[in-house]
Amino acid sequence: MKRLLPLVAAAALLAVPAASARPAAPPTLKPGALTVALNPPAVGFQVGTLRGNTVVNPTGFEIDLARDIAAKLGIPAAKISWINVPFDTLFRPGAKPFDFAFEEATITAARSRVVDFSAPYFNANQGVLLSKTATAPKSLADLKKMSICAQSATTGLDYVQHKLQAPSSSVHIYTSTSAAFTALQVGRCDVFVMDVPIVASQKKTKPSAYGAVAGQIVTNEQYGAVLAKGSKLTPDVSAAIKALTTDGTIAKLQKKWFNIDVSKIPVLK
Amino acid sequence: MHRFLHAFVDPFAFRQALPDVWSGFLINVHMMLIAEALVLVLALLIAIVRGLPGRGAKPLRGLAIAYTDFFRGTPLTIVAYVCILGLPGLGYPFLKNASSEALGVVALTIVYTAYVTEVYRAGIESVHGSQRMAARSLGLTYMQALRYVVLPQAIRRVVPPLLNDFIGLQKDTAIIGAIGVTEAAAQATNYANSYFNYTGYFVAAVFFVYLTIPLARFTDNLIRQRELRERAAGI
Amino acid sequence: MSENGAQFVSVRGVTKRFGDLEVLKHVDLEVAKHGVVSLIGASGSGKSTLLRCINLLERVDEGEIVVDGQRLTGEKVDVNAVRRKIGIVFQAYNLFPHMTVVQNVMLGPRKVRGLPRDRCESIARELLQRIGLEAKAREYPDRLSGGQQQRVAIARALAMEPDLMLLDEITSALDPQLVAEVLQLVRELTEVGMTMILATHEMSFAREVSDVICFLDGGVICEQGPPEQIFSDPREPRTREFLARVIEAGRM
Repeated sequence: MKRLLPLVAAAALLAVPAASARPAAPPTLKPGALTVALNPPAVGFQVGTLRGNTVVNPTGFEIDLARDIAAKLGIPAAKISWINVPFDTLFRPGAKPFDFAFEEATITAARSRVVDFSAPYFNANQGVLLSKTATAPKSLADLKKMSICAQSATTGLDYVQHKLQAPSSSVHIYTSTSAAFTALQVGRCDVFVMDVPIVASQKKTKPSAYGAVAGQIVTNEQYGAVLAKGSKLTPDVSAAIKALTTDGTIAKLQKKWFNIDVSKIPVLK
Repeated sequence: MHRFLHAFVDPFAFRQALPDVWSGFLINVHMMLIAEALVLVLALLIAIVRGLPGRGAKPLRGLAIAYTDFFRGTPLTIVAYVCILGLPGLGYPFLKNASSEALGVVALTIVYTAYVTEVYRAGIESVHGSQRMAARSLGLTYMQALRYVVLPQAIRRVVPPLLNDFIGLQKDTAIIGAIGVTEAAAQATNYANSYFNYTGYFVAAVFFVYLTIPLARFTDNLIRQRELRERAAGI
Repeated sequence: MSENGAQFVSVRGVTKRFGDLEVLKHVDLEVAKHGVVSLIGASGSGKSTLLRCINLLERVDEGEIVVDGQRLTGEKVDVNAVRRKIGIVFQAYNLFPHMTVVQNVMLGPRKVRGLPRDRCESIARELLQRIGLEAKAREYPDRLSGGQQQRVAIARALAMEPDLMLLDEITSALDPQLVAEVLQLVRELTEVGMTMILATHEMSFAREVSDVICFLDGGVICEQGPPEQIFSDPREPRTREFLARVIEAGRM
C-alpha cells in the first residue's frame, strides 16, 4: 500500500497536464491580449473617438471582424486594445506597436516586401467622388484633366500618379482621409480618388457635402491586415480570416455595414 | 550603419528623387519670398500701431497686442489647416478660387507677422528715448520722428533677429506640404511611400540648407560687424 | 536787462511732480527778449526739468508758461508749432547717428519747415561754416569729438531759426579741453542777441554772459539777480553754501 501511493500520485501528476492540453496562446505582443491598430474615421469600416493614442468605442466592419478573429485566436473581446496608427506610417519597415492593423490596406508586392499581409478580407476598386460643383468624367482621359485630391501613401494616389499619370500640379496630396474629404468638400479639387467602399460610405453619410460617386476604376485591390514582417501571428490571422470567409461571416458583415450596390457605379475606362 | 546609409543617403535614390523634390522646392522658395515680403511690411505697420500714444489709440493697441499674442501662441500647422481647408468653405469666391499654395502663404504670413512685429517693437524700444526727444524738440510730429529718426535706427538694429525669423519661415514652408501643396517635403514623403527609401528627405534637406546657410552666415557677419562698430564708438 | 519792459518768457507758479516727488515748486521766472538767464544749482535741483517744461517735453502740473505772448500750458496747444520756435540742446548732444552731420542739421528745415532741399542744404552749410565744422559735413556723428558733436547739436537747433534757445548743461559731458570751443559758440550767440536760458555748472562763463542768474535749490528759485550780486554778495545762506562748495571744487 505504501509503495503504491507514490506511484499513483506520480501517475496522477503526469495525467493532469496531458488531460488539460490545449493550444498555446497565440504569439501576441501581450500574451492573452490583442492590440489592433486602426486609423479612423473610414465610414463603414471604422469610426471611433481618438483619445491620445487609443481609439475609444470603435465600431464598424473592421471592428466586428477583428473581434471575430480574436475569438478564433482564443482571446476574449474585453482583452482587445485599439490604438491609432496613422496610415502613412504603416508601411515603414521595422517593429510594430500592434499585433495587426486594419486600415483598409491594399495588398501590393512593394508593400509585401516590408510588411506581412494576412489573407485578404475585402475586395475593392478605386472610386471617384465628385465635389459638388464638378462635372462627372466620362473616361479616364477626362479624369486626367481634372484636379484630383488623394491621400498620402494610398493605392489611390499611386494609381493617379503612376498609372493615370495625372500632371503633378493638379494632384493635391493630404496626409489624412478626413483632410482629403474636407478638401473636396470646400472645392480644393474636383475629385477624390480613393477606395470605392470608403468614398461610397462617406457619400451615403454626408450626401450634401459632395457630388456623386462618379465612377470606379478597376484595380482589383484586396485588403489585408498588416503585420510586422515575419510576424509569427500571420498564419493564425490568415487562417482565421479564411475560416470566416468560408463560413460566410465576412459576407454577412459586409452586408451589415455596407449596403451599397457597387455594380451601379459606372466603370471608367 | 550600412543599412542606415542605404535607407537615407542612397546615391541612386538621390538621383531618382532629385527632379521631383527640386520642383517641389521651387514651391517652397516661391511661398517664402512672397510671405517674407508681406511679413516685413505688415509687421512694421502693426508694430507702429502697437506703439501709438494716446487714449484714442487704446483699442487699436489692444487689437495689435491680441493679434501678436494669439498668433505667436498658435502652432503654424493649425493656422495652415484653417486657412487651406477652412477659409475656402466660407463661400467667398476669392477664397474659394485661391490656390492652396496662396492660402499657405496667408497662413505663413499671419503667423510670422506676429513674431516679426515683436522684433520690430523690440527694435523701436531699444532706440533711446533721447533720440525721440531730440527729434520732437525740433518740431517733428510723432510720425515724422518715427519715420526719420526712430525707425531707421530700429530697423538697422533688428536685422539679425529679422533674418533669423526668416530662416525659420523658410523651413516652415515645409509644413504646408501636409495640406495639399506638393512642396519639397511632400515630394520626399511621396518618394518614401512609393519606394520605401528616405533619401528624398535628404535631398530636400540639402536644398533647404543650401538656401539657409548663406543667410545664416550673412546674419552672423552683420552681428559681428555691429559689435565691432559699437565697441569702437565706445557705447 | 529788459529793453522794452515786455517779458519774452514768463514762467508763473510752475509746479511739476513726478509721482509723489515735487521737482518744481511754484517757480516764477522772467526772461526779457535778447536776455540771457543762467540757471545754477546742484543736480536734481530742477534745472533740466524747468527747461523741458518750457519746450513742452514735460507737462506742468500747475502754473503757466508764456513765450512771446503765446500761452504754452493748458489744453489745445499745438505742441509741434511751439517747439519750432524754441530750440533746445541737451547734455548728451543726441545727434542722429544714422545721418551725416549736414543731414542732422538739415532735417528740421526740410521736414518741419518744409523748405526745398537745396535751400536746406545751404542753410546747413552756412551754419556749419559759422561753427567751423564745414569740413565734417559728410561725416557721421561717431567720427566727431564730443565738443564737435555738441556744436553740431547747437547748429541743428539754430537751423530752425528759433526765438528762444534752451541749453541744458551742454558742456557737462565734455572733456575739459573741449568745453571752451562750445562756450565760445554760445558766447557768440549771446552777442547776436539770441534769447537764452541755460542750465550750467560753468560759473565763470555764466557770470560773463548772463543778465540774470537764478539759483535753484530743491525745485525752488532760492535767489536770483544780476551776476555781480549773486556771485560776489549772495544773500541767501543756501546760495552762499552752494557757491562755497563750487569754489572749493575749483570750478570757479
